[in-house]
Amino acid sequence: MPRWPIAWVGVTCLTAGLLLPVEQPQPLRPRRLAEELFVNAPDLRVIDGRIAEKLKNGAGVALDYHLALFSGSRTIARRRTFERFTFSYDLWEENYTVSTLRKPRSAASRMNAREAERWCLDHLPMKVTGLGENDEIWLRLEIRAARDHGDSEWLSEQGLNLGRLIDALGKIDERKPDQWMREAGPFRLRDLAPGRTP
Amino acid sequence: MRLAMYFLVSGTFTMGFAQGVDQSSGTEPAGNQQLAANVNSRYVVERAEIHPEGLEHRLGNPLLTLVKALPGQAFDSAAVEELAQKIRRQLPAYQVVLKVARGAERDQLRVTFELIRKGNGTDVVVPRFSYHSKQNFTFGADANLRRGDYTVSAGALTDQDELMERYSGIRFGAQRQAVGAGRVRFGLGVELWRTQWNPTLEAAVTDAVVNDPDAAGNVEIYRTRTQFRPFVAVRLFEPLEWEAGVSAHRLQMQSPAARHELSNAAYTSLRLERRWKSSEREQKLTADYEFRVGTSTLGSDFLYRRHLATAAYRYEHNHDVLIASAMAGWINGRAPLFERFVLGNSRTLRGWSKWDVAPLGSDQVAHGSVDYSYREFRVVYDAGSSRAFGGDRKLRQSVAVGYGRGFGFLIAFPLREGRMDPIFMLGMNF
Repeated sequence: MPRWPIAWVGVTCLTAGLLLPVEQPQPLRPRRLAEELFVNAPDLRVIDGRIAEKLKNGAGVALDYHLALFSGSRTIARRRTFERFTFSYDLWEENYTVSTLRKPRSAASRMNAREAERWCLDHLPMKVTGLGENDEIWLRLEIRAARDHGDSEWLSEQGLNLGRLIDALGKIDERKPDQWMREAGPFRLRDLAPGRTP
Repeated sequence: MRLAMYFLVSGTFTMGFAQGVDQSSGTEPAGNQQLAANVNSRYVVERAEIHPEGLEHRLGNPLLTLVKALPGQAFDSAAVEELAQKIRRQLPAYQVVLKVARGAERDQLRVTFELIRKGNGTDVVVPRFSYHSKQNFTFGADANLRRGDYTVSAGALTDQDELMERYSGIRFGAQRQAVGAGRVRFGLGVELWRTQWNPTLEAAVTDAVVNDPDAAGNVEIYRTRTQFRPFVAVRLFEPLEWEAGVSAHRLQMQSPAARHELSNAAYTSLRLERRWKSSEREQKLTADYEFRVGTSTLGSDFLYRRHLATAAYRYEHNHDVLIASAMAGWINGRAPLFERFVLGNSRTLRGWSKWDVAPLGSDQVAHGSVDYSYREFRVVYDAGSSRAFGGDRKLRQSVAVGYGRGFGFLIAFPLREGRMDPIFMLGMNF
């Protein structure tokens, strides 16, 4: 039996596999307003899955946003900004409310999920005063759900519960969606005209 | 870090909630924190139910009253979640799922606590695991078999941290939970321990025999210790639990060989545990008072009274955890060595060795501790004073730094003049 049909099918599958688009997170889109940088994360869906489920059960969810700016090297952050946003879902009006924790306190309501996510990023300014216009800059956004002491905590005052530890290890993959990271760069400040992305 | 310091300094957070599409507020509208944290706090609870019906009676009156009091109140997600936690604690045989949905009337919500019976299960718990550079390893494991309201446990332990002795052996227990409308639990425990004694303690016993006959009669060491402990615990009202029982010990004394003594004590304790939790922070207060009396009525060879009061306050916000705790205890009469107080282990006076503080244990102690951690970095300050056999009281202090809250390590230093030998501790829950 000739082997060429098998080889042909194999090569075709391999080529198709290599050519298939790999889904990768889109980078952050920075924009400059006066002496502050803001970011957009077009494909970032924070209110989704378990968090959306929790919100739609009437609970509040706190998310920590952390934006770091790197200049010169990508190892040591030169500037950082952070904020804790508290989300809740209006069970009757079916829209989201978000509020910040630090002063000056801000809150916004009657938003859909995407608007609420965008509102948080719009309230996470990064000062760029003192940075060179020609410096290479990278940005990294990290979002993390605030720690919640669930009933399934494996290490408690009673000791280490091996059954719960095994459950927790088994759920590591399920917990991953509660952390997100997006990056941008390198770019230069001079390329960021107000309201423009590089 | 700046945010953490802000949280620490500001102490309380009352966030403003702005109606409308977007509103920044320097001023704070009237309302509580919950109003800001959860938009649903403007709605009223229409109904609060336990599902499936018929399980309500298992909750007991105090909790049921809290559930029934919800309708008509403004919805408070933190309070409702706290109530669900209380139900979980009271009914460990059930999984409690909290569901919040729209009510039949506009602007009202329906709260449902759904109870799902857990299957019969087995848990393996490691209650203690630590290494201490002066005390070596402490390790134990318990297997718990749960069948409905009944729990049967068996375990093994070797511990040189809690008492003046190293005790190693096995223990068994049986417990029935949620009797009497969920308020009463009772059970019994059997423990079989073999003891080992530190040479410093043995030398102190020998020294006492020679120089202090009064003390010598109080500090006899034993080879084995067998305990039988039946108990009953009643939840008086939600945060307060009362427990009473008998702790019957049979001791095989070191010398002369084959001599046994009984240390039988009746005990009673009151325990208070209160938690406050919101989406931003959690506070917990525990307080405990225990009174034991060794009496000839129970056939005890050791006649004594032992009081122990402890309290701890925990404040957790974001990455900051602050724990302040205090302990005071005193003994009157002749108590066995396992009842004597210990300072200088992995939870008290962490920079000191317990055999240096009081080689035969103490009969009066006072101890306070402040434990702060930011993320996983931890700093602890301990101060304690103890007295043994009418001797002098001496205040001792220590500081410790380390990494890891649940599981981690500490390096502790005694605060004293002269040489300071650090003590290294590794493990969990100290």
